[in-house]
Amino acid sequence: MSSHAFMTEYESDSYIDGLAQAVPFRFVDRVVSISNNQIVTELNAGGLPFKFTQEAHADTYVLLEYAAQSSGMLLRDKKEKQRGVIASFKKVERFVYEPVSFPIRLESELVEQRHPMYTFDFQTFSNNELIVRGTTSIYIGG
Amino acid sequence: MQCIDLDSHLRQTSPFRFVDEVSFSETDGLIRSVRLYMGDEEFFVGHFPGDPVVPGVILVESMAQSCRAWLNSQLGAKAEGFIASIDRAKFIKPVRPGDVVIIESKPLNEISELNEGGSRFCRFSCVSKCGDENVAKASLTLFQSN
Repeated sequence: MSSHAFMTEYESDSYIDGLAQAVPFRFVDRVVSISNNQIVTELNAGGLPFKFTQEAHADTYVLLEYAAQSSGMLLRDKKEKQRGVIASFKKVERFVYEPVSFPIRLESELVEQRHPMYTFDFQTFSNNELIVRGTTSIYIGG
Repeated sequence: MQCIDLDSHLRQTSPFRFVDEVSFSETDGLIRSVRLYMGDEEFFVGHFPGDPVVPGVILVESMAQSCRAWLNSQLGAKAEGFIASIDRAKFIKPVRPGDVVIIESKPLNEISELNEGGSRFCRFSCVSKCGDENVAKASLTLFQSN
């Protein structure tokens, strides 16, 4: 990750403000670092009821949306005012079958790009424990 | 056709319940569920502002809830659980307010495997349709909590 850049809070907010999704369906709280093909983000517990998590635990679908929104930030310069939408998930596995604690950290890597389709491998962690990993493809133009 | 009592077999309630009716046909072995997206669901506010679309992950969750309701009904339970894995989920067409989504799911495990306590995982193949058109497909595995 040679061009890896750690974010200030201001820079992080600018990435999050660029998401097409808005509250209450916005699932990224902080961009920790970003490079051309990798991103690390955090999801915190604040305002959970408005993030569609139930009983303060992160359902798998929340983690999937979190993964897609985070991954989509790597496409900010490729969207040209178009929207990225989730085309698919593949090989998603959950490793922890109990409520997870926050903050949750996500690492995503752009592994294939065939415009307008972009594919990412992602992993989410809680307390450095792997919670979910998988692959998502995002289509630009939805 | 066996109608499944959702209040007895699904722990999710409004606004986190994404199925309106679930039934099971012994004839073809399919779980069928119905969901009308009214347009007043809270997620539409943010997904997307001024252009409401049902999030793909909500379609996956509705498939999982449909399968969970059937699974619990077979086990006489109201247990919770998790989506343990998704081999593949594909989103084909956007679902918008006013659309009625029909989900057809096929259990791929024998329920006896769960009854005998040998496995707490159950696999399903699911298709979501609006009218005659497929809008999403998924192959998923549910983990059944105690």
